Formats: sequence, C-alpha cells, structure tokens
Amino acid sequence: MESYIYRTDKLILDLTEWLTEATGSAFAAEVVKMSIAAAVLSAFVGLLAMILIYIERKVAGHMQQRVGPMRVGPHGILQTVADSIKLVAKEGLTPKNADAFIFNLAPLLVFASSFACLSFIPFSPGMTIVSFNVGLLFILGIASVGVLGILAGGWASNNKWSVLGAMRSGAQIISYELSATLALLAIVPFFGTLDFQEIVLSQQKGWWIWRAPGVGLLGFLIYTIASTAECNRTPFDIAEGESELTGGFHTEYSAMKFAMFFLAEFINIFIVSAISATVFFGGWMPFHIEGLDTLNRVFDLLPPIVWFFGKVACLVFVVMWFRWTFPRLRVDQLMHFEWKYLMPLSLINLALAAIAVSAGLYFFN
Amino acid sequence: MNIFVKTLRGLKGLLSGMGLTFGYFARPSKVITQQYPENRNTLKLPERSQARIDLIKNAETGRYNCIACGLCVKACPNNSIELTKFKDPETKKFRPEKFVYHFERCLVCGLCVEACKFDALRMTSEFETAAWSPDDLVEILNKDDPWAHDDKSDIGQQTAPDKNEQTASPARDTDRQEHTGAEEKTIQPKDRSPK
Repeated sequence: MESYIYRTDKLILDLTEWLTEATGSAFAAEVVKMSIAAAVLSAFVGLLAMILIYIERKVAGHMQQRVGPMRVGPHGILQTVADSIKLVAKEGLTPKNADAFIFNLAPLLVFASSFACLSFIPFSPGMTIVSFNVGLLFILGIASVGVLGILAGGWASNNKWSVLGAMRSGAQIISYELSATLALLAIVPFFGTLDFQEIVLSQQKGWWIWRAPGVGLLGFLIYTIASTAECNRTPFDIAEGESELTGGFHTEYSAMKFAMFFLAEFINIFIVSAISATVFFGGWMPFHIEGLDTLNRVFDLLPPIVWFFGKVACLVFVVMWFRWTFPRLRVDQLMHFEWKYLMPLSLINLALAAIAVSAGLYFFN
Repeated sequence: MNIFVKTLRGLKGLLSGMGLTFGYFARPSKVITQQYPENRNTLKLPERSQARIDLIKNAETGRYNCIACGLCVKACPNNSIELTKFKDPETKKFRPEKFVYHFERCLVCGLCVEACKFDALRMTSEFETAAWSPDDLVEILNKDDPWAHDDKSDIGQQTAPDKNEQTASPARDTDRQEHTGAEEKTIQPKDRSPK
C-alpha cells in the first residue's frame, strides 16, 4: 500500500482495472472514475480556497507587522470556516435594474473556467483527471473564458463602478495573456510536447528553469509577472482597485455569488502557480543532481505529491509576497508596461529559445 | 542606455521593498499589534497615546499646578471643562476650587493641554473609560484638594440651577471658608451655540 503514495500511476491503473471489473464495461468505469474525481476536486477546491485565504491573511498581517486573524480557533485557523458559513447563510441579492440572467450567470462562468483548469494539473505521476495531448494550450484557452464572466458580471450589474472595473479587467487580462502564453511557449520547443505529464517527465534530469540557458529564467520571470496580472492581483489589481472602484466588477455581488468570484480568484492563484511549477520547476519530479545518488535517494523519500504541493506553495507565497509589497499600477502604466516592454521581451525570449533548441544549446541533453 | 539604468533602479527598489516585507514576515517579534483583552496586564501603550486628561501636581508642594486661569476652558471646543476658582490666602494666588471635567463631551483632542501655559494639564493614557451612565463620566479632577472632594451634586449643567443652590455641599462650604473666605468667581465657558 505504501508504494501507492509514490506510484500513483499504478494506483490509478489498479483502480481503473477494479472499476472495470466491478461495473462490467470500460465506459461505466470511466463514468464512475470521473464522478469520484469531480467529488474529490470539489472538496479540494473548497479546502484549498479556505487554506489559501487563511494563509493570505496571515502573510498579509505579518508582512505589515500585524498578526492577522487570531480569535476564531487557535491562531484564527477557523476564521475562514466562519467566513464561509457566513457567506453561505447570507441572502443572495440581485440589484433591481440589473440584467438578472447574466448577473447570476457571471460568477458561474468565472468559477467554471477556473474549476475546469484544475482537471489538467498533474498532481502526481498518472494523477491527472483529464490526460490531454494539448493540455497546456487548452488550459490557457479555458483560463481566458474567465474574463468573459468578469465582463458579463460588471456589465449586468448596471453600476458604473462595476463596468469600469470589468473593462479594466478585460483590457488587462487580454493584454497580459499574450506575455504569459509567449513565456510558456518559449519553453515548449525544449520538451516538444503540450501534455503536462510528459512535460514533467522531460525534466527528470533537471528543471527547465536552468536547463534552458537564460531563456528559462527569463521566461519564468515574464510568466510570473504576466500571471499575477492575469489573476487581477496587486500590483495589477486595478480591476478591483478598492480605493477607486469600491470593488470593481464584484461591487454588486453578495453571498454565494461573491463567494464564487472569491473562490475563483484563489483557485486561479493555485493554477498559475501549478503551471509555473510544472513547466519551470519539474512539477512532481523530485529535485535531482546527477552523480549524487545518496542525495537523490533522500529526495526520493518524499512522495511526488508533496514535491508538487511544496513547489506550488513556494510560488503562491511569492505571489502573495508581491501583493503585500508593491503599490498598484495606473491603467496607462499597466498597458505601457505590457505592450512596450513585456511583450517585445517575451518575443525576443521566444526567438532566443528557438535558436537554443535548434543549436542543441541546453544542459543535460 | 537610460532605460536600462531606469529598469535596474526600479528593480532595486522593488527588491528592497520585498526584502523589507520579508524581514517583517520572518521575524514575528517585530509585530506591533497588541492582543488587547488578553495582554491587559502587560499592555504597552505608545509614548504619545492620549486618552482622558488629568491635572498635574507639583511634586514638592503636593499642590496642583493649576492657577485656574481658564485658558483650557476657553480652548475646549465642546465646553467639557467647568472651572471655579478662589484666591489662596497663603500664597495670594488663584487656585481651582472645582475643576470639573465632562468626559462625556470630551473629544480627547488635546487642545486644553496645548492651551495650558502652566504645565498643569496632561493627557493620560487611561483609555478604559466605559461607564453605565453619562453622569458617571463627570469628574472633579482636583479631588485631592479637601474642598473639592467627589461630590457632584452641584455641578452646573447636569442639575437644575435652583437645586444647585439648595444642595450646596456643606463640606465644600466649610472647607472653603476655612481656607479662604475670599472672593470666588466662576469662569464661564465661551458661548459656542449656533446663532
């Protein structure tokens, strides 16, 4: 049983085999497997958002010489549970002059796009809910459906602050998506696949952040900046801009509809960090140095899932660190930065990566 | 070239900011938030915290520094100080007979302390001032003086004027006559009612 923690691909295979025997057909087994996956993922999403919100508040507190939540439970660990119960119990209002159908649809759109992205993330060997040979491309595609929800929500609220926030958010996400995609694209030629599991397997000898000379690091930096902007987080939080727009596109939302936006925001942080960890930091692959077998064995003791979540946690912390350090950019500065600096830089990066790949200029090849 | 210098300078600024916040994050001992009700006994108040006012006593003579000039009364925007004075026969100087502080009207703005030229008033950091009724918040600040002990029955704006005359505290009268028998004058607060 113990080996299942390390060989999750074997666990999935055995489970599929057992389900096929029990249900009698491969299709039924697949249906049951997907149902289990959906249930587990839903629980995971709720838990993840609660933990991330708690951590965010604690990190924010300590970075500003405060302590964060302290009252509910020891060191406030039950604070987000209490908040969730409050949000669920509240009345879900729809403003009188709002377009009720679109207004209620918008949070679902945002949440669904984030939720769908999670099913492509490789948590552990073989543990991807949907194995897809163009997973990376697909995830980038679905992620941009979220902006539709934000725009729809802002528009349907019939509130000028909401529309302003939604417009800013749309402009920002559409702009920064280019840089994020180009930064990931620069690394794709090195491993020559878009399947997440194969991307991880290609990093057995070393992570792409240093295996791709210079290009990896630059790509990682560009992706970190652009993905922070895509998540609408400080220093790119002009879409919410609490001090300017009283919350931006979600000004009119309350109760569960607001919770959906909030949940999606935190899942998005997890997703961009997971993509970053998978592409640049080897996903669930343990840290290995060729030649040092003893050290490699020690690192192998940790199950892959721990490696994956450890890497993601570090990257999430970096994003939170940005939020509580940097001041907000103005709209014109934001556009200026993306179109004049970040995008040309990522195009140059892509060109350099192409040269490096065709010349075979990367480590451990 | 300018753009590279600018970029580097910007990066340096961002990184130093991140260094600072990480420094705070890594050292929880730097936290300045106080867990107030729990640490009530070890509470550390900042030096310049200000709450209700108090009269300062001269350490040598044991007397209040106040000479009942009424500057604080005039400075107060909310009329929260009422002051009566008498001439001390020993020193031939004015002293407060009753320094009545209406905390229920006080803003804790500190203008009275700023106005005081005789180092007689100060802001204390006594912030736990909740009371059951507004009357409990009226206090006589020079209560150590024997003629002004904690009898609030004759305090002007809380009671009717006729009642004030009837129930003038006997203790106050005798005390005052023992000490002075001299002229007495009430400093009226400025009339700030809207016209």
